[in-house]
Amino acid sequence: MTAHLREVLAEVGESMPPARLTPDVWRRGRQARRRSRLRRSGAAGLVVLLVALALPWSLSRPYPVPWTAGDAGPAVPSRLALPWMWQATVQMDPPGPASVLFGGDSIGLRGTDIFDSEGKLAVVGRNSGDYRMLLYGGWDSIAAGENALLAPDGTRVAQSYLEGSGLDATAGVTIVDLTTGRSTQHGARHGTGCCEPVAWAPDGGSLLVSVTGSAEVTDPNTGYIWHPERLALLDLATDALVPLRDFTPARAIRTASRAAFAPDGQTLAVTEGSMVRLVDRTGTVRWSAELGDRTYLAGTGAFSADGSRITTVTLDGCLDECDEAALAARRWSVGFLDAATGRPLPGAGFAVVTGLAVRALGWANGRELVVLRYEPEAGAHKTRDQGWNDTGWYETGHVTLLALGPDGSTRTLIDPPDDVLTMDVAQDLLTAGRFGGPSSTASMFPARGIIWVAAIPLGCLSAVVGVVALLVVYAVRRRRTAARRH
Amino acid sequence: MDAEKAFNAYVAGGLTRWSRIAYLLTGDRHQAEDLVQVTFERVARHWERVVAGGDPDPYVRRIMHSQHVSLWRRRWRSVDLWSHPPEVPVDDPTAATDRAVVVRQALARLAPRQRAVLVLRYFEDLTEAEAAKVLDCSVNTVKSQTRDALARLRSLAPELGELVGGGELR
Repeated sequence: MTAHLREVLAEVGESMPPARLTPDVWRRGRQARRRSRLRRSGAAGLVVLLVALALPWSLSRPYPVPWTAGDAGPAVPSRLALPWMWQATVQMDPPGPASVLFGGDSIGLRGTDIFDSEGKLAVVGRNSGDYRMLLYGGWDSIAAGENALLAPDGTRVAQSYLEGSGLDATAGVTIVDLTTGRSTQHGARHGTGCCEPVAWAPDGGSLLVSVTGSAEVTDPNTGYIWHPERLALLDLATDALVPLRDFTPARAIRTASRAAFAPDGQTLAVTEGSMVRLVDRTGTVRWSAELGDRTYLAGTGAFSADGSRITTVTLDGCLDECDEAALAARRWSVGFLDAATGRPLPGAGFAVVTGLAVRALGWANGRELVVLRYEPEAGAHKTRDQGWNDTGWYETGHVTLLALGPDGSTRTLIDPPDDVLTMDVAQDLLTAGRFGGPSSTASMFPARGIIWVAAIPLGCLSAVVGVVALLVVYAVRRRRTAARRH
Repeated sequence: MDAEKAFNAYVAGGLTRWSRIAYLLTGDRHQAEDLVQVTFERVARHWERVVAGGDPDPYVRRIMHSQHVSLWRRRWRSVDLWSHPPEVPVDDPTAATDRAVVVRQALARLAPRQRAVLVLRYFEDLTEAEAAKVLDCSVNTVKSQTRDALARLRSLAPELGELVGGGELR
């Protein structure tokens, strides 16, 4: 960036005279301090009371019974709960292989930047039903399934940065093992542009990643300057990075539609502008297909289970300059490309989905297409010149996991609380159609240390209240005794 | 010097600078004054802890940025969103004052975090690592927010091409 911008910023800044403050800034601040202390004390008392009430109940609950072999194994829960603000992290108490990874904007999924970590994702253990957290310190818009990816077998999560991992945040991919809580870094030797995870290979041995280049490219249509990105395969065993395509201004592409692995892991469908190309693991293009500006690769789960078809979604409705109602009224129809040739195939009667966007996660039992339907955030408004992401955290108000059948049926698999905005599902459970598992609630404990921020002052307050109550009781008894004597 | 006197001396000494930063963050004088007021009230709440840590500036900076985002979020729900700016900037990039107006209007249309990284990096001259600490995010996030902010500035005000597109990113 240039000295010119510094000059202009200084120039703009100089046009601002010193702010006219009220003369009692100090007094107002101190009043707020006293009010805050009172509020904290009150809240602490309430928390202590709740903990006191909840603890015996929690201890009296039967220990959660894990799924057994007779129960046909683990499944994706039919309902999700919101985690507590102080929910323990994966590093503190690993939950084991997960069924679901999700994020959102509740206090438990986002926190506050004053004393907590903004940006959190929740992991649901598939055997225990435990909720554990991954923290991303300041990255409040991190999206499960796009920025952080659950491994196909649910044992790991890949992301470019993870708080508390103890690893360099400026390069490489951080992969946290959900069975041990330990993190490993991959691809860091390839420099600061490497890497953002895009999709797990089906065998979990490699990752499709996005590598950011150092050059600048100006988009001729929008005037945006992009650091071009390119897709590459990162082998997790050897750390080798194989570039698949040339650097392109990939940010112009819908993030949910960047690429999808074929079930055998040997080919991938990748999006470049409005084209979809089938490439092999060396980047050689097998075919290219033009989709136009309203049809997109459906998501990382676009390939059919037998690898013969690639799913696309086509928008019927508002593309640009859309208010919330127009975004909510968008209609998405499912289509297919022949994976051998790239030619369009006839539609198969899947239901049209209404919503802000849909993203394909995969195929259940080789028959039902599992998609995440996005609904717009209240007040959302899309304009042509805006940095917009159809499946982004800021744009989304609610998501629903659906199964679309070839007979036009629609099944709701998970309809989570409104505060859940992003979601990823373990591919092994998804492809086996293991949905409808028992719901578990997020247990208050184990907790992160921030629980004591509220609990300690409240404990002290309770002690004071208890002592005062004892003194009152003692005084009343003494008076009664004295009255009897007289 | 007692705490109140020390606080008042600090406010008097830094008011101009913090007002300018608030103005760059909000793009509006009244909102900037609100932001400075709220920030210093917050600082007064914790003044003993602030000065115990040495230089108050990092704490004040962090509070101002977090308050800016909070105020923006509260306001966001109650404003009309325009597809184009209601006032079209004067197309005369050679005049310094017009250039400042264009930059101010373009800044006002950036997301608060994007505006924040530009102010931290190019007005306050902080390093990426220092900016990341203020915003409580990773260095990578600062890099990507800076990149996006510059791209958006260029998109919103193409006449600023020489300012935001001709130089080398640092």
